[in-house]
Amino acid sequence: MNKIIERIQSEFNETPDLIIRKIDINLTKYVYIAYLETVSSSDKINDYILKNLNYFISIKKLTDIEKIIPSPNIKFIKELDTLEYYLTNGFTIIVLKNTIIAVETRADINRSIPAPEVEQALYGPKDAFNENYQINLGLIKRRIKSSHLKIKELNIGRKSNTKVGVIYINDIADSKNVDYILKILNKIDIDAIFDSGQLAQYFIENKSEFPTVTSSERPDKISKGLLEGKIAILVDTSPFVLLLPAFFGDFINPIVDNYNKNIKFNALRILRITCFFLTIIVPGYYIAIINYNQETIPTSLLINFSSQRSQVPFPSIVEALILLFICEMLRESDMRFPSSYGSAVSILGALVLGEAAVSAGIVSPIMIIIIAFTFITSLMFVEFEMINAIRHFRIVFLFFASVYGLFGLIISTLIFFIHICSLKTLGKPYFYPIAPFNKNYFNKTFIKSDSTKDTKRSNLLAAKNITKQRNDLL
Amino acid sequence: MITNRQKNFFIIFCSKALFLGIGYALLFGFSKNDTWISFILGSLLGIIFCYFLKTIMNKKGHKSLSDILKIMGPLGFIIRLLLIIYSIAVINEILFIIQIFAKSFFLINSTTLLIILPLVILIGVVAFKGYKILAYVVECLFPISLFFTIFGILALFFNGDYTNLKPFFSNSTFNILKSSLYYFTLSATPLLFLLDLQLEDNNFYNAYIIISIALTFLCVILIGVLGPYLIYIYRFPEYMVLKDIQVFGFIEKVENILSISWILDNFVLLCLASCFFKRLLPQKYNNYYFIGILITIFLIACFVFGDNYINDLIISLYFPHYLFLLSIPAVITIFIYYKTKRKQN
Amino acid sequence: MKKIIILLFFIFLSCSCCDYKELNNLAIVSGIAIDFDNEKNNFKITFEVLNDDEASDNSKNDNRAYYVSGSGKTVTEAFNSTNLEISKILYLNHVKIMIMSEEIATKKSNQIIDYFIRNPNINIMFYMLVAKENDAKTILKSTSTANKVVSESLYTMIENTTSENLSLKVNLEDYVDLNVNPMQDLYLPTVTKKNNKLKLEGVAIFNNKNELKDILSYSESQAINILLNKNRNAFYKYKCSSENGEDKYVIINIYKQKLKFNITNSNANININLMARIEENQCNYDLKDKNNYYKLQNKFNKIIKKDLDKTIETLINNDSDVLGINFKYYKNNNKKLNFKEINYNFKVNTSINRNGLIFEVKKK
Repeated sequence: MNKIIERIQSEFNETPDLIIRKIDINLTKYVYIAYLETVSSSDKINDYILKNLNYFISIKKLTDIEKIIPSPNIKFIKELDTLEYYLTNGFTIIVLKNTIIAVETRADINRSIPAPEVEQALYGPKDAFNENYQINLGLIKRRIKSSHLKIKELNIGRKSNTKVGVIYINDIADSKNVDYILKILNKIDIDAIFDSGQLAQYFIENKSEFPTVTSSERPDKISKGLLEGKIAILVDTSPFVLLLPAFFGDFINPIVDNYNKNIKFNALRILRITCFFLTIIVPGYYIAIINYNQETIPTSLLINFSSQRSQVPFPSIVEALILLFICEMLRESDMRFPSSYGSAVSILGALVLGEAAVSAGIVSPIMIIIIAFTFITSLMFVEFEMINAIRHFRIVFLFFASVYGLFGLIISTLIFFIHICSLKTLGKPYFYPIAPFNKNYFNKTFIKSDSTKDTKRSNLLAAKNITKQRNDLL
Repeated sequence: MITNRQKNFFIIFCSKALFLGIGYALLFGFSKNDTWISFILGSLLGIIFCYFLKTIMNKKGHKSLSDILKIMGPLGFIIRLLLIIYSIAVINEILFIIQIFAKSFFLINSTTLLIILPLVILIGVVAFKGYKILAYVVECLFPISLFFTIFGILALFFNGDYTNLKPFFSNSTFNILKSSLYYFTLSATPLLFLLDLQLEDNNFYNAYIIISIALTFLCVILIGVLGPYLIYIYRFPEYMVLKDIQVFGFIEKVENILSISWILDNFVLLCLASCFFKRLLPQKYNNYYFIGILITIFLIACFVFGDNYINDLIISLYFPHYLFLLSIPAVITIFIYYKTKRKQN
Repeated sequence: MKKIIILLFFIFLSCSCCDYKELNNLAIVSGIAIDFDNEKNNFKITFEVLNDDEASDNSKNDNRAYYVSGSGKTVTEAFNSTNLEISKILYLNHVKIMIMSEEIATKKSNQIIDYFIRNPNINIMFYMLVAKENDAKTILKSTSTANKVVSESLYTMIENTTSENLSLKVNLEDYVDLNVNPMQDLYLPTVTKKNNKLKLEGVAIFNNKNELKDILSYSESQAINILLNKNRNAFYKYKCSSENGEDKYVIINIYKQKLKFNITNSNANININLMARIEENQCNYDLKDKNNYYKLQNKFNKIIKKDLDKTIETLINNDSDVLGINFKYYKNNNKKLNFKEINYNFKVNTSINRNGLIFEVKKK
């Protein structure tokens, strides 16, 4: 038996899906074919290799094999160590005497292109990334048909050997950023990478609750980011693509706003920004005015609050914490539970929160209104880390409000701003379009300006090619 | 590098900050309904001061103030000492005013220690992060401050009876001149904290003139709404005037929310002063010195000035004098140093 | 996470913070009445506290407010003694009304001012009233089915523009302003209890020492309102004929006015432009004839001028510069003046420019 085949067999012992066939071509010549049944497609093996084995007789030079086999991807393997990589990636190995040829016969272990689930929208493209690296790349390339779209590929993971691609447009993006990202990626030495979220954790410079990396399933969002001068990281087997650097403003508004007139959407955008601050401040503000600065509440309302609260044994801050805890619990269970059971959770939650808690005298109705308001406003943000950050600061605000009242709210506002202003993403200030203020980028993230006036890229992200639209001809 | 926008915000915050608790209460006490005249006179002086600062900034280039004082030798050491004492005085005074302010309207029974502690920790944190982060924070705080100020001014403007400003020049000229000097000291001298920054543009005039106009306007509204007798009765006239706000019949009793803008102003000046004096302290063991001094300030603010009305009185009556004596000689010396240096060349 | 755990820990500690007040521990005071007991030489203070205990018995309990009172040699003592009567903390930031008895207004008004304006716990925007012919306490306690909370109903009475033209709005800040201003004297609205009903009465005027001098009549109060430029709804009537012992009137309502003072060291010329609409035309003046308008306007000019002259005379007699003539003169001339020593010339110009929906009602 051939030594190469022996080696494969010993490396892949106890691998039942390894198939090795010895095929005689004529009396003297024979080839070995080895592939992993699970990752290769038997149709392709049949079409590319087995049907064409007859022509192997006429081979004079080994390189002629390339002409015979119609597979799009044929590699001559010189190092035996790479055999493992090719086999596990769905290649079929042909061993002809001492020559090893790898033919791509990869099986399609793919979903079809799905519709976005996390970042749903009424308008805009309905395709989303799936788990296939090539398809994901194709979805981006379909949108940016330019040779300037560059990809630097590398494999991460000792065991998983996951393919990771760093995508950027070289005449827009800052090459320093690309180098920086590659530097970090090259340093990673880990067993396996299963999802892009795992990689995202390596790009957090400061310890912070705020997300410093966008991860999106929408190819249009990624493409727009690339054109803005950002850099995307594509990971095989992950339907989420990372986009770096990500600023605070990127998480507030979804991209689909861009496909509509700005007039109606600016109201929505302002609403979202307001809601971001409301969802952090409202519980703290309520605690502050109900326990410290009661003069702010109109008298008739104050009497109502007071009579509602008279049966509740806990201090209002404890009441607030109890309700916040219940709400977080409900949200989490709703997320983890299979959707077919989902209604049970919401019914239970509505019962517990609505009637029973009030009549049992655990919480007052006004507190339920406040916490419900807080939660509804926070539901606008899909990014999980953003929700975490909101929750974190909500508790900071609650704490200072419960100790200092309105004065504490001022202090916690200062803490919030000092914290968020000192964050950095890829060496750039995280609170970017606001501080330092940049009109260009502000008009893209917080408020949408008229499409005809959107002519420049932001100079913090894009090193070259600042102009993106000519509007003098319009 | 501090951008032009950030610098303007700095100037606006700095000039406005000391008017809470000290500025208006003190000036109304001197010149009553003529205070707005002294504001105008004082801002003229302030513009001259801005010229001094601008000249120094132009000559200084991108060097830090500490380096320049090192070059100046023993004179530099004295100026450095003056400036450090100046900034410590400002920090102490603001902590102290915020404490009184909070105790008057927000936390009536709380202890001084509890009120000052978070502020001191925060300014320590900001001082370690440096000017750049502070500039970002200021950019975030400015819209909030602007919104509250404009809301307050608009809501109060139509409440005022502006015949209260008359008769003009009814107070003695000496008092008016004195209070214009006070105005100058309180509004312009904090700008010397900007000497240490690296500015994109060294023009101080625009922002200073704008904030002077705003302060004068606020002064006119205060006199108009409260009348010539109430303004010097109150300890915090700029807060009490907000109680008169009533918009559309339901937005009322919002004074404690609108007064947030005053605390923000004071906080920015606090941070700027602490950054400033941290950079002036010796480089070796810089952090230890800074933390030591900050803790000393904290203890002084808590136990010497906190809950002690006599010290309050002394400090708030003579505070502008200290500021004047500490800052003007220092700035003028640096100015003259640069002028003579050019002649030698 | 560590931070959050520490924060949560502190939250539970903070429940015992100095200024932490749980809402259901507050007794929300809505009205204050201050009386002076001459025999004991005591201040008597009564608080109207809003009842927030509705949840216990919603339907039967009609008392939306209850009363707490106390007395003491000084205002502070009186305040503190009320605290002993009640289990909750008295919360004075929602006070809407303060009623002083006539005695307090006459002799002791200076003493109570200092306490109220110095105290950081008291909202200064409440309205001040003088109780006429009654104790302040009886006024504050005179609840009826119509007005269950006296302070609230008094507050709306003063706020209400359609109420009679007596409702001067004087809050504590104005009160202090007038009190400390040496060139202008104090005025306050008054309230009385007649037939077990609350009723606003004429304006109380004070002299330079902040002592209550007199309570003006209805027509004088109306004139004061016009002269203070606070008029919102004044009515004047003119007796046009008297047939068979039955009087007939033309009544106008002044809905807008312009006032101009021109004070020199011997004269005060006061120009008043009034805009009026006809409310009633019992004498059936032909309103299609412009001469009738001129005639009516002249009549009303005289009537109003007479009223104003009378009012000024009352003010001078009482030594009460409510209108701030001294202050106005000082503002323009930077000199002092005694308002009693100058002549007052009123120039009233009534223009009737609305006649309502009809011209006349006449049997033909």
